[in-house]
Order: sequence, then structure tokens, then C-alpha cells
Amino acid sequence: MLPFKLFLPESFEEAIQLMKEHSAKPISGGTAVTTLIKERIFQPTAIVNLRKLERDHSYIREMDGEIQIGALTTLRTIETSEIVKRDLPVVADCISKIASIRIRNVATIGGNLAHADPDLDLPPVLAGLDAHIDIIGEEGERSKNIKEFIQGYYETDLKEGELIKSIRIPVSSDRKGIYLKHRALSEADWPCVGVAAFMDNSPGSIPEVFINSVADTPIMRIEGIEEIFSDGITSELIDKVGELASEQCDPIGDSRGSVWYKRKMAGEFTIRALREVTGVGESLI
Amino acid sequence: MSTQIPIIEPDRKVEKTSLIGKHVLRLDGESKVTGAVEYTDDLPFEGYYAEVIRSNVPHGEIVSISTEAAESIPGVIAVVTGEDLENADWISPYVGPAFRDQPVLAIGKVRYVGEPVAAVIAERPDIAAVASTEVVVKCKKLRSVTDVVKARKEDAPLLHESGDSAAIFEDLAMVHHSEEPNVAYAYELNVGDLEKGFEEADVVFEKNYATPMVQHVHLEPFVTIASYNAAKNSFKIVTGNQTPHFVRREVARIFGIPSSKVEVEVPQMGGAFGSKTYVRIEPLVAALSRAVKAPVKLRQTSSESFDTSVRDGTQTRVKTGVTHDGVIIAQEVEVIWDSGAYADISPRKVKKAGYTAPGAYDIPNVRVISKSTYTNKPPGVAYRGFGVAQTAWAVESHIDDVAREIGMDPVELRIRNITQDGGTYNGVGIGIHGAPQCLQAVVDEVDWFGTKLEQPSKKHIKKGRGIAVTLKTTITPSTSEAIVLLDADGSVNVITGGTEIGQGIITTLAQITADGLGIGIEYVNVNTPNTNSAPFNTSTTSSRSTFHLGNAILGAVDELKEQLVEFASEDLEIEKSDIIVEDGFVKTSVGNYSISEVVASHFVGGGGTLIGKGYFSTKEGRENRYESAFWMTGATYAEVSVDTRTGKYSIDKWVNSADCGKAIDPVRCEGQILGAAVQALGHTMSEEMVFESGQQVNKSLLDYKVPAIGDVPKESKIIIVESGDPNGPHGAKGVGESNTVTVPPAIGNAIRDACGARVRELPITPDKVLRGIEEASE
Ligand SMILES: Cc1cc2nc3c(=O)[nH]c(=O)nc-3n(C[C@H](O)[C@H](O)[C@H](O)COP(=O)(O)OP(=O)(O)OC[C@H]3O[C@@H](n4cnc5c(N)ncnc54)[C@H](O)[C@@H]3O)c2cc1C
Repeated sequence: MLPFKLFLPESFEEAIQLMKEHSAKPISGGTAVTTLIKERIFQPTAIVNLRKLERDHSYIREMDGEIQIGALTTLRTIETSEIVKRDLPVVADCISKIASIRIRNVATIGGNLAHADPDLDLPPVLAGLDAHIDIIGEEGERSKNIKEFIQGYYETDLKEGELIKSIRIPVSSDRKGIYLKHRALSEADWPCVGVAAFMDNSPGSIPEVFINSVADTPIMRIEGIEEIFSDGITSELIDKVGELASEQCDPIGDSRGSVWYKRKMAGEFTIRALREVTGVGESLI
Repeated sequence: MSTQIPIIEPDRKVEKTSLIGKHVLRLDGESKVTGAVEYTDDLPFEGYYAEVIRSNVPHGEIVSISTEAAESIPGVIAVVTGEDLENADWISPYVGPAFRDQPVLAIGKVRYVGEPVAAVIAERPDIAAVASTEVVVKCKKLRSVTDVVKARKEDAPLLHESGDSAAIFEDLAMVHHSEEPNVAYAYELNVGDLEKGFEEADVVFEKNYATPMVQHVHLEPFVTIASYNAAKNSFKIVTGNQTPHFVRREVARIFGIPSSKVEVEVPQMGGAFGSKTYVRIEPLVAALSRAVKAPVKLRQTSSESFDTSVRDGTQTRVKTGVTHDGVIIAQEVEVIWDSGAYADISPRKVKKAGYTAPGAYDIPNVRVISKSTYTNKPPGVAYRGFGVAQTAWAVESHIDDVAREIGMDPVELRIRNITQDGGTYNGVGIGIHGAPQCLQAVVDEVDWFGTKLEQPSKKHIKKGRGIAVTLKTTITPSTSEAIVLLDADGSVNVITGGTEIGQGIITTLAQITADGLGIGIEYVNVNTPNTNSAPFNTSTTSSRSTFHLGNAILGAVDELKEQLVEFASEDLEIEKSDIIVEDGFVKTSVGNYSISEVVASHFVGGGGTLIGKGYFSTKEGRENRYESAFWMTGATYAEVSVDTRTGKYSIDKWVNSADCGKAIDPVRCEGQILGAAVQALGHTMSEEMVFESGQQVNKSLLDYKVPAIGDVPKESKIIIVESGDPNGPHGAKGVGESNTVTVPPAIGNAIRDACGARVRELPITPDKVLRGIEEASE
């Protein structure tokens, strides 16, 4: 590992100041960043470690109609939280499929979302739930919908000197969703393809589908579902949406699967997820 | 009669304490579980740190290496290049167990991406790391080959001009490069009349199979500390290495000094699986230490393991002639090994794995062609299974293909053709090996012929089952020696060159020693090796340690017993024939004495040490000293569910059997069997070094996936077969590799059975299975 300066601020304000002064990159759990540093893909001169902010910013709070999670909350804390398991079971389930318990014990929700790796499991689920990211910077605080927050290949809406402070996820007993993670190599692996499907309980509601690992962001929304399901939902029409997913995605072939395969899987898991949330057609899981 | 020995009542109770076949908790278990154990990297160290600069082109002429910028960084002691070593009068900088084809640092040419080109030595690791980025290597690119077919074409760029045997091992004394371009070594075996065999066959079937390069993924990466002593012109090397005596010899040779001036110490190792054999980074670190006349430590990263040693990829063609009633009468196997840029031990691998390429079957007409090919990739070395894992992938998949061709149950075909204990193999006699018992054990366990798998209610899930069996040699010829020191308090020190890689050899040897002397295991200490005191041991490889070191220890124990009898006879003035040593006691006509009493009373001055020496060499007492010292055999049954819409499969159940000869400790044998199987699960499901333009693109454990606990089949049965090896200690033999060999083809066969997809190239990814399903339905 190449050497770098390491700072341990106690507050967001201090962290932001240090980042500015030293053109430093923040880390929280460090699980994503340290591998990049070790592999020398990323060679920082200074790092601001947010660990000490855990004291004030590791929390899961129920607020009016929302659950607010502090940026320094570990994935494991969220996954095992009674509140999350009760009100956002799809989130707890999705997190339980990320990496391994050892990683989840240190990886934080803030670090996870700021990482913006197109293969991340959680963003499609948060997109389906319409989560908001609370951002803090020198100029104050602002908030962004997850769908606009993640902008491209490892790219977010965070400006220089900004940090994620918390995320807010609306809780609604009317909305149900499912996340299906397809792993090609090992049960502890990143997804080959992951599909989240969400739908409101109200009559005539149209499901939404978000897919990771097949585009330059982890949130690829399938467009055109409304038209297909305009006259109702049938198993044949779900297959059509599957085809749409295969067409719309733009995967990169790698050891987890060729382009051919990933396209097929985007379609297949879209079908599976839709059969589950709509209750139409035989379950394939 | 000596009055010093207290006479014990003749009716004193003597308990039988056999430890053989019992489970003994690992003596190093607690230190490992608590993290207290010290690996090379944990040892206190004072000295300099090295960092390696590696080639980023697959094949090139080194034009220049600029070191000034790095050297000017405060704290940098030196930058050493291959040219420096070539010009030094104190080193001859080429190494290798078969050919001396590998430079300690690249000299003139680089032959693969990741090859060490220079090294920075600095006061601190971070300074070395920074300085390493300042070393600029300029190469003129040469045409490269990364494919074994292209490498053997007439116009292929040659990696090496010539190659003569390093003449270290007698079985490799005559090896030389082939005439064919880039073929490091070609082995051919001809048994019977192949053409006639094919003519007589009712069906002749031919197919190709392949395996990719993979890496061992030992959790402890390569770490070596070398300390050059200028006053004595000697070296102390502390390293994670499975062959300390080879390291000593090779380091002594390159520096032109006697091996007594090279002390090699091997602490506990965090895994190796064949990767840490012969020499790896030891000559480099020794050379760096010699260059700066100070201790130097090199600790590589896990990613650098991929640059250092890998398992050869293979492309195998198998052609089989069989009768309608399932008698295999002819088989031709051509295995082309992708051995990377340096031969390392490839010639032996090509020979040994070539010899058993026809699998566990007794076939009258056989031809094997086995060629190790140089390519511009990291060097292929030994890996658990020593090449048989690759050849068996081909042949054990092929047997199922053949069975299907003639409409016979694949296990039936195996049973009809398997070589028998004491039968013939490749046209010559073979001893007791246990292959039929291993196969039978899994067949019986799952009632193969009596049951049919029930298909799940979900239509897109298909279940299937498969079996594979193996026969593998162990390294032969080889030698192991042991010294057993018995102290006056009855405690024992065992000194050997055997290394603890995690396999549990320390405990097994303690068990054999304690049992031999009839003392409690808590009295026995087994040392990790230091070549200054440890007698010769060929290697801790090829699952040979329990067999060879165990035999050597039994010899040493016998020597101790003889001395005890002599002492007792002298001191008690009775005939030797009236004395036996048994169950920790010297039993005589006048009473039983504990062995410590006999030792203590024989010596004066507060103590004394009895020295027992023993050795085992495969040269002794055998008709053909090149025939494998013992045979490793095993079988795997796998039951899978394939999701036919995604190609993803799960292994619902597996049964692994292996012949241990005699299980000294059944639990540790089970550990070896399961460990071998799980490691092979990686080769089956996910492991593959992916190269693009000669560059490995998944050189990190984030993308190179080894199996996780969730991948291990939940229903698992291990069967220990004990065929009793006539030459093994208590009948024991090695068991560490059989199931590395059998797991991939058993799973491949099960997938074929489940859904019709026959994947012939490892790893079996869902992508390939889905393609296979689509092809099968076309
Ligand atoms: C072995 C392994 C397997 C993995 N498998 C999976 C998987 O299967 N599925 C999956 O989805 N993910 C997987 N991951 C990725 C894992 O989810 C992320 O590494 C983790 O969530 C990142 O969190 P962290 O706190 O460790 O982030 P860090 O490494 O600390 O930071 C990640 C990024 O976020 C930035 N950052 C950190 N905190 C903040 C903040 N508060 N505000 C703004 N920016 C911030 C950092 O600068 C950096 O760019 C895996 C990772 C590893 C190491």
C-alpha cells in the first residue's frame, strides 16, 4: 500500500473542512476504498476516515412515514434491525445477500451508496422505494432522490466536499417489492444480475422494475412497462416485459457471464420478479 | 545389576495406549484458532523491505530500466535489476528444478506480465512501495503467445532458445526441450497396439476437454526473509516453503557456497497447495540481501501470488475405442499443458499426470502424448492433484460421454474397466491402490443402481447425478529422514524436514511417535523444520508426509527401542531376548520399567538424550524404484439441481470417498478429503484466470472467486476407505488430493445427466450450462 495522510474528524463539519484543505477522499467502512488502494487503482495522498462520526451518525429512526438511517450505520446493523425487518423487509433481505457478514459488519450505508458501483445490490431496491439521500456540504444540506443521486459509472451527484449524512426511506404498507439476486460464480459473489420489482397494492397499479449490473449505473429502470400492462397483467405480457429488459440493458461481458447471458438473465429475472409481485403466473423461485 | 533402576512391581498395570486410528486434537489448533501462531510475516524482523517491479508486457526485450529517481528517495537503500545480478560475480542468477530457465529477475527479456524485473530495497515498506512506482522499465515489445496451439506453430515466437536438464532429480536427469516450438518437454507412453485396438473396437469416440489456468489462493501470500552474513558468507532464510531442503540446495548453488552455509527455516504456513514448492521468491530475496549485505524481507500481496505461481491450463483430446458390452480396448489421450513462461516442475507433471491420463482403468492399448508448452503467462507449478486434476477432468467426463454413446450406465462402464488391486495398469503390474473400493463405497452409499432420482415438482428444475473416480501417483523416487530425541524425563522431540501447511502433519507425526513409544502425545514435540538440524526430506508435497515421514519415524522409534533394550540389558544384566519395549514400558523378566526410568538411570549428570534416526527411501526393497511409492485413489458422487432457465446449478448432495490405507486420525483424514473437494468446487464453479492480451484481468479475489461457505453442499458424506498399504506406516498413505481430482468431473457428469448440457471446459459457469441446454435441445 502506498502511504497517505489519514485524518479522523469528529464531525461532518470538521470532515468537510479537512477534505477541502487536503483534497482528501472520505472513507467510512473502507471496504470498497481499501481494495482499490491496495491494488493501486486509487492512489490517494490524504484520506478522511469518518469512523468517529459513527457515534452520532449510526442510527435507524422512525419519522413520520419514513425511516431515516444515519450514513455511518453498518449494513449489518440495518439488516438485523427490528424496525427495518418489520417495515422494510425487502431492504433487510437485499442487504443480507451482499458480500459476507464480515464485510457487512464494517461496510456502511453511506459508503455503499456513494460508491455507485453499477453492480451494487441495494440501489435498485432503494429506487423502488423512492429513497432520498440527505447530503451535507459547506453550503448546508440538501436532499436528492436515489434515482438522480447515482448518475453513472461510479458517479454520483455529490459535489467536491459533500458527504452523505443520512438516507430516508418512505414506509408504506401499500407498496410491496422483491429483489432477486442472481449470482453466477459463488454464493458470496456480487450479482451477475439483480432485479427489483415494486408495485402498489391499489387496483390498476403498474409495477416498476430496476436492474443492476447491466448498465453504467446500478439502477436501470425498464421503460415501457405501462404500455404493455395498460390492459392488465398476464403471464404472456410479463414475458414481454422480460424481453424489454433484455433489449434495454447494455451489459459488459465478464467472468460472471457473457453479454448474451446477462441480457437473458435480465429478462429472466424480470419475469421472475414480476411473477412474484403481481402474483400472475407460476412462481419460478 | 545396576541399583539405580527402581524395580516396579511385576504386576504393575500397563495400559494399552494405541493412538492409531483415534482422533487427536491438533496440537497447533488452539494457537491457530486464537491467532497466536506465528507465520513468517509475524516474526520479529529488523532489516530492510523489498518491493518488486513487474513487467507489464507479455513478451519484450528490456531496453532500459531507470532507477535514479527511485534511488534518490530518502530511505531507499538500493534498486536491483536483472542486469545487476547478471554482472555480479557472486551469483549465477537462473533457477529451476527441471531446467534452469528462470532468471531471479528478468535478464534481457521479459516473458510474462507480472514477471519480476527489478526490486527496490528500502528502510520501510511504504518507502519501498513509493520508490517502486518511480522505477521506469522500457521494453521493446516482442510478439507473444498465450495459446498452446499457436505457441507450437512453426512461426511462433520462441520463449526459450535452449533447455537442458538441471540434473537435480534422477527422474528428471534426462529431460530436454522438444524439437517442437515452445514445447518444454514432451512425454509419450505407448502400451499395446493402439491402432489395432481402435480397429477391434465397436465404437470409437473422440472429444476435446479443457481447463483454464487457476491459482492456489493460499491465504498466506509469499513471504521470505533472507539475512546474508558477510563475515561467514552465509545465509539464513525464513520462508513459507514446502521444500526447505531444495531451497537450501538451490540457494547454495546459485551463490556457489556449500549448503551448510544456507540455513532455511520454515515456520507454520498459511496454506500452499503446491504453490510454495522448489524455489519461489527465496533466491530473489537472498540475492537482495547479498546485494545490500543486510537482512531483507519481501512480503508479496495476494494479487502477486497470481504473478508468481499458477496451475497449468490444459487442452486434452481423448479418443476411446470400446466394445458394445463396455470393454475399453484402446485409448489415446493427448494433453497439451499451458505451462506459462518457465518450466518449473512441468516435466515431472507432464510425465506423472501423463502416466495416469487414462484414468483408473485397465486398458490394453494406450497412447498418451503429454506436452508442456511455454506461453507468455505466469509459470505453471505444482498444484494439489499434480496435473491429474486436469487430465481426469477430461477422461472422467469422457467416460460418461462414451457410456452414453454405447447406451450403458456410466458407473457400470467404470466398474467393468477399473484396474483391480494387484491387477495391471498401463500394461504392467500395479500394487494395492484401492480404486475399486473407493468407487464401490460411493456406489453403495447412494445405492446407484437401485435408486432413481425423483424430479422436483418445479418443471424448470432438473436433478441429475454423476460419479468420478481417480488413480494418482505420488512423487517417486523420494527420501525422508527423521530424528527422534528421547530425553531422560521421557519427553520426545521429533526433528524432520516436513512442513506444516495446515494439513496437520505436526499432530499426525506426534501421534505416530507417541504410539510407537507408547507414551502420551503431550510428551511429544514435533518441530517445524530448520535445515541446520533437520535431516533431509524431499518435499512436503504429493501427500507423501504421513507415509514417508511416518515410516522414517517408525525407524527412529525402533532405534530408540533397541537402545532401551541394550541399556536395560546392561543395567539389569539380563539377556536382550528377555526384554521388550511396549506401551511406554521396558518390560523385562524382572519387572517393568517406564522408558524414562531406563533413560534417566543410564545417564549421569542430570540427564541424557537418546537419539533415534530413521529414514525411508523409495529406493529400498522395491522391484521398480520408479513405480509410485503408493497410489492415491478416491471417488466422488454429486447430485445437482439445474435451473434450466438460468443454467445455475446447486449441488444438493455429495459423497466423497478416498483410500487412506489406514486412517491414522480419521477426523484429519476427513478434513483432507473435504478440503480437497471444496477446493475443487472452486475449479468446477468459478475459478479461472482470465487473460486479455497476455494480461490477467481478474487478478484479485474480488473477481477471482473461490468457493464460499454457502457454496459447500449441505448434504455431505465422507467415506474413508482403508485398503491397507503394504508399505505405509500402520498401512497408511496419503489422502490429500484424490477428491481435488474427482469433484469437477462428478459435477459435470451430474449436470449432463440432469439437463443434457455437456460442458467440456472448466469452469462450469451457468452461462455455459445454459448454452449447453440450448444446444442439446436444438
Ligand atoms: C469482498 C467484497 C464483496 C462485496 N460484495 C458485494 C455484493 O455482493 N453486493 C454489493 O452490493 N456490494 C458488494 N461489495 C461492496 C460493498 O457493498 C461496499 O464495499 C460497501 O458497501 C462500501 O461501504 P464502506 O462504508 O466500506 O465504503 P468505503 O469503502 O468507506 O467508501 C466507499 C465510497 O464511498 C465514499 N464515502 C464513504 N462514506 C461516505 C459518506 N458518508 N459520504 C460520501 N461519500 C462517502 C468513499 O469516498 C468511497 O468513494 C463487496 C465488497 C467487498 C470488499
